[in-house]
Amino acid sequence: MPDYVIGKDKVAEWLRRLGERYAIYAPDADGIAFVRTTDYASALSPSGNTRRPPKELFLPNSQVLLTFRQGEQGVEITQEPASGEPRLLVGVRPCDAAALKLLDVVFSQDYSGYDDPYYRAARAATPVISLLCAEPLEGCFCGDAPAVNLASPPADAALTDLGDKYFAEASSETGEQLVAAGDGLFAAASDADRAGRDKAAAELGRLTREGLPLAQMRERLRGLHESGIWRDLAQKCVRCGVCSYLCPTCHCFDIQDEAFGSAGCRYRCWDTCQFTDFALMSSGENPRRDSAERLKQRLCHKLEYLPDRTGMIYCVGCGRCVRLCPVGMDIRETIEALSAEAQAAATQEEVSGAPAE
Amino acid sequence: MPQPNNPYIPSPARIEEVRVETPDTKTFKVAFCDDDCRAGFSYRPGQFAELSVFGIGEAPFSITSTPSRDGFLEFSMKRMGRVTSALHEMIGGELIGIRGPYGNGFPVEDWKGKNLLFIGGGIGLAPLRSAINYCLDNRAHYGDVEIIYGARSPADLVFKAELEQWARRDDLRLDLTVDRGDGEWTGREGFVPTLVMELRPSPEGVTTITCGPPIMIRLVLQGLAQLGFSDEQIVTTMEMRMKCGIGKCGRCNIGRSYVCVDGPVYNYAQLKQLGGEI
Repeated sequence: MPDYVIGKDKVAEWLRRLGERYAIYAPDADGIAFVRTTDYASALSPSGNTRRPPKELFLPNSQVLLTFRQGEQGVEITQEPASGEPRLLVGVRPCDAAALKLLDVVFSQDYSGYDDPYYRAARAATPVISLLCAEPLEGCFCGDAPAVNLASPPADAALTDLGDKYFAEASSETGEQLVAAGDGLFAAASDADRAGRDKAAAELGRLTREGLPLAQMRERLRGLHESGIWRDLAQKCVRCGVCSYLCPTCHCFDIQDEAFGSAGCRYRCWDTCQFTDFALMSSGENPRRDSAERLKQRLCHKLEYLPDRTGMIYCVGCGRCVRLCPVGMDIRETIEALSAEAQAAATQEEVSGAPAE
Repeated sequence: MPQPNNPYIPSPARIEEVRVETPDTKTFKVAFCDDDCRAGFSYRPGQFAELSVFGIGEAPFSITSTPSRDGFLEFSMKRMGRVTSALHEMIGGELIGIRGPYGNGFPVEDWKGKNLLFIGGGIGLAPLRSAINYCLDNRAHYGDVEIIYGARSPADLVFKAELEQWARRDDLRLDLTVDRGDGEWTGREGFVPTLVMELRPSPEGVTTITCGPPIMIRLVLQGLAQLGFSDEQIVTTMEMRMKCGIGKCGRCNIGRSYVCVDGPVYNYAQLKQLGGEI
């Protein structure tokens, strides 16, 4: 794909032009979330990643699916129009760009035989411009995440800070159009620019690589379903759900009705497997009744079950769950402990010729 | 109107009849309001649908009617949570929403030429009933059909009128039991797994389909293994908490398998491989 550079002093003008076509969303000044902005000069904030990932622009915390009205003649069901508002996301970090690709798979027709029209419409109307992080935050481990490509993240256009300018790779037709909107502001990238981009990506990769065996966990977790280690690892958990609410790849949702008299709506909202009643059935049966079972569900869903289904690993190393867990549970330590346990069990099996207890 | 592009939108349907099965279980006969919906809803035994009570919510229920009898759907349910409680208040004529059918259903085509042994407990007969009536409506395709069914008490037996019809047929065998009889019950007393071991069905050329309370299924599986049934010969239909029904909301998985799209029907070998707890 074609590569360009744009001077930092020209970015505001580029975004101003794009702002005529799109509502522009960028990290807010406090680094909390992606919000609508017209402050184009500071849209590409160099600070760390937002606390809330951009998934909420595609899978909102709460989203109406349909409205209904019951009358004498019957019930009138109206599909809530899927949001087609043209938006442009600016400054999405490579981990979150990768996470959106992973969510695309879950909400696709191919994944389960059903398309999700709300998610698809929001994605189709919202191009993404990514920005490589200047430096990692505490707890970031994207360098270990196979889904993350720091040099060429799966965004429509990918920006890398080269000091007084940005390297810009247009990775899609839409990305080409975004760059074309900056006619006169971009120049072709040189080999030195490309080398600069590669160096910056390699450096961030080096800083965020801890050697976590994310790709190996799919096989290693298989033997741990009955292990007692989950109980030990889950002991600290207070079931607040922050790890999944703020996870850029967690997508589990609930569906509920809300009615006033004969009219109302059906909405979906984020849910988490860490809540006690997530799998509780009305019969009283609960297949995931303790926190050990629930931790297993979360870790295995990301690192074993979804990889089994899709071939991709649903952790992008963004570090949000590490930084924001109120009791200091650290998914890196959890993965290391599980990996060690699996390897110990495998060694035991080799020695004794039988599966370890 | 049907909304083929949006799987979250239910189609309006009217409750045509409510039958009281037991003190806590009712069967709802339902028909789509729209003829296109009625024609477009093509299902297999063992599939399920999401029923909406507007303003209360949605819940998944196995379809207990058979596709070999056209024009209506039937759902049987215990009064348990919010949606079932709201449905139990209905007397007929009310409007609900339906979307589906969902799930894999029973492999009734693969069963052709085989002997079938259905083992049910309590409301677990509901999904089996769809397959039983389907096989009876296509009787020539199937070998021996045997049904072992039990409930806590005579009053808790579901589909009583149908049980009587089945008992009168000479092309199937029906064995009933109740955990504890009342003054009028002259049939067997005892648990379903115990009856299975008394009857000692032969595994030869048989597919067995079981559904019931988890404790019954666990003991039936143990018993069938003792009788020489292989894991592949044993089919069951799983229940997990569900919301979307279409493999998106991430809640109903047993290991890597989503019960809503990959299940709810599994054989025991598949369940063991998934690490599923029964």
